[in-house]
Amino acid sequence: MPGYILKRILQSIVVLLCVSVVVFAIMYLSGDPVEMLLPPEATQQQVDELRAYLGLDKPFHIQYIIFMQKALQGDLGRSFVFNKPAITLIVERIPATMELALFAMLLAVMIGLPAGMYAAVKPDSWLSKIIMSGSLLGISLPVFWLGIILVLVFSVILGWLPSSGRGQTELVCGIRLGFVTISGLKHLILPGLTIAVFQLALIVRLVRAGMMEVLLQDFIKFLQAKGLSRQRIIYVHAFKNILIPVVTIIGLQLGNIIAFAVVTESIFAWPGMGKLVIDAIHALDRPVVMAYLLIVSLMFVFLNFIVDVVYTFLDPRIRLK
Amino acid sequence: MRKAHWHLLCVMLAITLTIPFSALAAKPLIQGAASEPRSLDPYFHSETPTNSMNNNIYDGLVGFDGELNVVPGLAESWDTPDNLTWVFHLRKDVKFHDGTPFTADDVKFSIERCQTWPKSGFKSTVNMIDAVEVVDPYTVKITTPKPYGILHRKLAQVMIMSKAYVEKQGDEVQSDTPNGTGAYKLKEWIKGDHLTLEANADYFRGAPVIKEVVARPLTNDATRTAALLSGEVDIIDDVPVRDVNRIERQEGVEVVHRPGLRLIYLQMDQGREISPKAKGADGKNPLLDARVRRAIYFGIDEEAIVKHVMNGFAFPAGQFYPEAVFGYDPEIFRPAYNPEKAKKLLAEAGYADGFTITIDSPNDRYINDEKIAQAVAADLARLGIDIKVNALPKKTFFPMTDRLESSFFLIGWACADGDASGFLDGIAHSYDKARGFGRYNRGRYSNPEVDKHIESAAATVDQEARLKAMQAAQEIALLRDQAFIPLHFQVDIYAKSDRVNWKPRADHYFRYSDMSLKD
Repeated sequence: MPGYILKRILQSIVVLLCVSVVVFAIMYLSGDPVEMLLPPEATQQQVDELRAYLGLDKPFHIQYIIFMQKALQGDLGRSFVFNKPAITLIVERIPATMELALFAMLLAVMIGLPAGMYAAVKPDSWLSKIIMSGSLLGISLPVFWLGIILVLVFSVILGWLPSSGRGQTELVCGIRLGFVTISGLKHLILPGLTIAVFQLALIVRLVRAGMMEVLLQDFIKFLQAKGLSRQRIIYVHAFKNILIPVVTIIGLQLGNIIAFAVVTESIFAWPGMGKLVIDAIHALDRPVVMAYLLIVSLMFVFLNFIVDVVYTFLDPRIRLK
Repeated sequence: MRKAHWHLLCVMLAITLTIPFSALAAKPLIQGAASEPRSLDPYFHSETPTNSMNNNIYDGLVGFDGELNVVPGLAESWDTPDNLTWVFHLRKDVKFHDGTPFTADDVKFSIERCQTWPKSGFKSTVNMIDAVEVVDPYTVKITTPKPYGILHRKLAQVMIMSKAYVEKQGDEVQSDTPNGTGAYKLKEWIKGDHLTLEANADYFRGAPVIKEVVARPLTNDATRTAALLSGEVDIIDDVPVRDVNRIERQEGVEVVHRPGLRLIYLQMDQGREISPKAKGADGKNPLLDARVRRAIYFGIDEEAIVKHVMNGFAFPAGQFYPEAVFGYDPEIFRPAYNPEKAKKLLAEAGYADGFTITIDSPNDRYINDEKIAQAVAADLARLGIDIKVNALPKKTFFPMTDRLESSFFLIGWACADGDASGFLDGIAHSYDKARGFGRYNRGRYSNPEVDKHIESAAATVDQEARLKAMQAAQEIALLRDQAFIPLHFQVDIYAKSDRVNWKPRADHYFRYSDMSLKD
């Protein structure tokens, strides 16, 4: 186990290094942020001064070396646009994104698991058919369209739910949380649903396929012969056997939602990381983009690690090497 | 029994759903803003959403009214004893939000911080100031190295900070805990979610009517419209043209609009024999000939662009700046679309068979920028010109024009300080890096006569003389040389709930102290 962890850490350092070089180069090549930071009336002298102040007048490799030197000391730089440490800007936004992602995933799992299992156990019932065609729809609907339709129906026409923002938030142990207030919960519903629909559909299809396969296996027949109730066979023994792919997908998708909920965050004006980063990319705010991608890469590495560890609990035959 | 429980649940659900609406009893004004301010340090970034917010928290020595006329602010009056000296007489009844009185020391400190803070984005507003002298606690004397007729317009953009406060708290916290003299104090700013202001009861112009303002950044166009339609916000800006009809159909909300300051126009390479993207049959740059440039002006059907591309939300431009700008010439009108005359001019210039050209345009900077470029290209193709459209993201487009890699491009300009000198100094004057002229003159138009008028306008504080000189400069650059091709002025579109009383301003700022709520 310790050897395994060490190996994973070394791997992630290589990943982070590669990410940093590629992103730095892309940001460098995309243009000159100073042109967009200063008002059009600015004089050439003002432009040159700011460029020198931000260190953008230096050649690429020098800029990268300076960045790495500071990064290794834990300083990812100050946002060109907001004049705040990039890491602070991102950390401020993490709770909002996490809250949304976890809520959506919870929704997807709580509905997706039972629905998928039902569809596998009773494939011919009319409810199964609805579940399966619903899941096909869920996978095919574009997120931005779904989000806007939900807003149109539930906010503009019916007026039941708020269309945007996070609502009232409270500080809990220094973290700003929304779901602890009624207004915050209501603000979670539409964006949460928008993200959950795709994940839900994915889980339904995955669980159904896995379950159908497992139910045909010999050990199920053996359990039946042993006289176990059908309920127990399905919900305990078969269920355990479909969890490995489901956990993998949940782990990966959770990472995806956290890192790339940009579209949903932008439709619902959700003050999360995705929106911050999209704006940063448009403004060529390199420190923020760099800090974000490094944090996200770290998170993916970490989530994958957690998934691997969970495997060993689900299937004792798997060992971490 | 079961059924009864269901009813109970429904009732409870209904109650929870209505809570936020009853919570609105205090009635703050809620704004859905297209962009969030970047910083509340008023010298960090000069861009409209940031400046708009800072103008509620701070005041300048002078300010702009809704039509960009200069009006008194923290200074109740000013005079110019000679061409190089400005004396400002300050109000004696002003306090910062933290209760300390405002004096001349704060003015001196603020202007100097604006000049020297390395992160200052406002250096160009104060770079012509030589010295700020405190004559007495309520009199400030500002001197400039040479006559500078628009100093008051520049100072209207310089918010005044408290010397004691900034020195004590440091530069980096000013954005989070601003301390101004303005009509509103910052109550809370959760970035990306909302910014709450509360009225300053001691404001020197009188406490504002609206006691609390919540500005929520809703950067997605569809979200902003939906939030207004569902009653979550009271006022929004930058309404997309396609949503105008939808908003007008709904009771209780209305669309308001007014001509903005931004001109959309075309620049042409006039500095080189051989231009990268414009070639006649002989390989030379056809845009050097004024007849070709005029042919392009006559050959663009701007009425059609306004009608079809802009859905009517733009005004054809016959000059470099709209009427609200000081320097506008009431005698100049846009000539009618005349493709016949355009063809004749091209033939006279020796390009009866046209030439090859590429029009560059940003695709994410101005309203419908790429579509405008395509419409222009379609019109010019009808004159026999072989034209291609090259639309790029702004972050690539602007540096490209700066490197002079474009021959013909669409770009915009707004005279943010309400004075024509912005356009004339920055675009119409010959490029002169050392003296700071022509930074945006990326077609390198150059006419010494125009330069002379522009410089003479800059060299006096006599506003009548400045107006004459600026009009003369535009007349030559536009009517004689056709150095640029004006297309149209953008229109600022807002939408608001009926309960808000407000008139849009020329500078696109929201001054909450000018608003009130009906009910």
